Amino acid sequence: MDLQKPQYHLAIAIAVFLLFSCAGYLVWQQGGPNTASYFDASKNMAEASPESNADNMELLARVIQGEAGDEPYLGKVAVGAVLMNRTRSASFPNSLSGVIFEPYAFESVSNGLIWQFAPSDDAVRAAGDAFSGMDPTYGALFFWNPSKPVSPWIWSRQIIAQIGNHVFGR
Amino acid sequence: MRNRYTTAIIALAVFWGLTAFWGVTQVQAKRKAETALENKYNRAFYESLQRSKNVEALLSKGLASGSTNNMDTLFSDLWSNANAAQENLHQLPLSHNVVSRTSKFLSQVGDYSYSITKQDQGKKLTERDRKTMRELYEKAGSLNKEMMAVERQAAAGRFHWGEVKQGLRSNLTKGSSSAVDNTFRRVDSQLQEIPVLIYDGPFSDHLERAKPLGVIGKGITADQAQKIARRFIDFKNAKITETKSTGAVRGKIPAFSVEFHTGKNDGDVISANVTKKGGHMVYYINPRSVASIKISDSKASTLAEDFLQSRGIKDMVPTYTMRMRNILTISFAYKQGDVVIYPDLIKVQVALDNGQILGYDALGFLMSHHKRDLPQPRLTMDEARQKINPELKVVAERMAVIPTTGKHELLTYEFKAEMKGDTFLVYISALTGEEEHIFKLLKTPTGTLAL
Repeated sequence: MDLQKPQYHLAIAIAVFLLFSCAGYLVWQQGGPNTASYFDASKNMAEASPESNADNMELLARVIQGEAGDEPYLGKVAVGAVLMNRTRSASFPNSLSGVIFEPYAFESVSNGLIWQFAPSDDAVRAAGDAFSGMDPTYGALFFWNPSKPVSPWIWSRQIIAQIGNHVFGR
Repeated sequence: MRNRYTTAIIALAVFWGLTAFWGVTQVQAKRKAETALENKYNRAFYESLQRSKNVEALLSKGLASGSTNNMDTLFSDLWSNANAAQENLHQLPLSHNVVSRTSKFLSQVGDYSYSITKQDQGKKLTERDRKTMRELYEKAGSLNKEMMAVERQAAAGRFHWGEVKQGLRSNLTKGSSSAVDNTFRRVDSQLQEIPVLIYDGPFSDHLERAKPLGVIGKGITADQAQKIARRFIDFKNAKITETKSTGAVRGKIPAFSVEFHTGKNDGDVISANVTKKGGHMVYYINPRSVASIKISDSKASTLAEDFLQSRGIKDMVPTYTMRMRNILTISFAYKQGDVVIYPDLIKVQVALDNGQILGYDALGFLMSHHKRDLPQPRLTMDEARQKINPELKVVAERMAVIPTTGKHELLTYEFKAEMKGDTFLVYISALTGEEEHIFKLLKTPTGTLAL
């Protein structure tokens, strides 16, 4: 068997390709959501790992970043305020971490986005403002982006205000 | 030629084998992960069910008990069981609209029972309370019946929590609901008519309907709101390039939204809300970043006080401060005579680079501010001081009105006291002499925050 023969080149190329893609896929799978962003957010890895001593405010800032990263500052405070309002509502968990990790409550928590990027300065400041009681939504418990598909149930809520791209209601 | 085919087939077989091996490990890993998740969900469900059954049992024991002391224990147990049931319920992968009533019921049952334990001996369990509790007991019974129906279906393998997960994802986008969502909807619908619970606790129904007491005056227009905001906000030499009315806000306090642009960037937008009635400023916020600290915290405090004075907001005293990202946030409380009224709260944010007022938040003030008829204290400051733990050394004292968990108000003596390097705020009721609250002051590098 002469591997120099051109007929074998294709087979070897496919073999190598398969092997590497399998290996690559396995590594990617085992790493979970953290390493999924390894290539684009590598410089944030140290800060972004869930092991970092994330107290409530940091957690709040991460959700704000994940849910309202592209919103104006007021929209960030408003999203933070909704989370704070939920902790005070009887029909939601009574703690901030309970509210944040309620299954499927927030898309950026479900898909792991909150762990991929360190929160921006604005998100951290907005978390502080929301934490200390600022509430541009006057007690809203829900927010949604009307231009995205949402459950029709959400429209049965009483709408309070629109801030940036989000509608806020209770 | 034949040899070549053999080699190619062997090579292919090896690759196929590798792929198959890899596939099998993947399937195994996936099953393991699914089982782990399934177990976690089951744990939460069974925990919630058990705690919810405890709630039912404790409610009936509370109704049967004749001793107030025992009742206190029963009700604290009730509170912790209802809390645990609610907490675990929220770990299940269900849509919010199928758990919201159950969750509210559990929060309120616990909270309400707890409020009874805090009532005076004589007032404990009035006839009305007994009636409410009987209703709650019945509701808890029907709730548990439906929960057990879910349990039987889960045990019989009729559904997996993992399925709920998939169903939910489509539920969010397409509006269809999963089998388990539907099963749980039956649980939730048992609680369509729970009694309205008004008591002194954080989840009491009266809080939902709170009316703003501080919003007085005549109605204004959107244009007037713009003018009011423009006069109120501290622009500090910034040129306003654009002013926009951004609509109305229909919250507890109906208000107009206004925006001032002072540049082209996203950070150059100052947002404000002005009440429709009376034209009071609710809040404004200037998100510009603050580079470096040039003024001291005490200077900033004075600037904030001057700001409030110049805007006609009088009799406000600073209570505590917090420094974050070179911005000092000062909480002011209203002072009626010699008494600090903590519920009437205004927060002012000062930029520590040039002293500009970056933020103003009077939502708390507008919700609660009114002229109060304060009761006559039944004990003196000296008598109240005697009630404090003798190990504490009192360093300051004054009278203060504080909010209870149910947003009622209480006239108290406030003592700032020290023990072994820690500082505490102790509140003694001016009517009963009971210690109502104790806060520990946390000295953080960013300032002082009352907890």
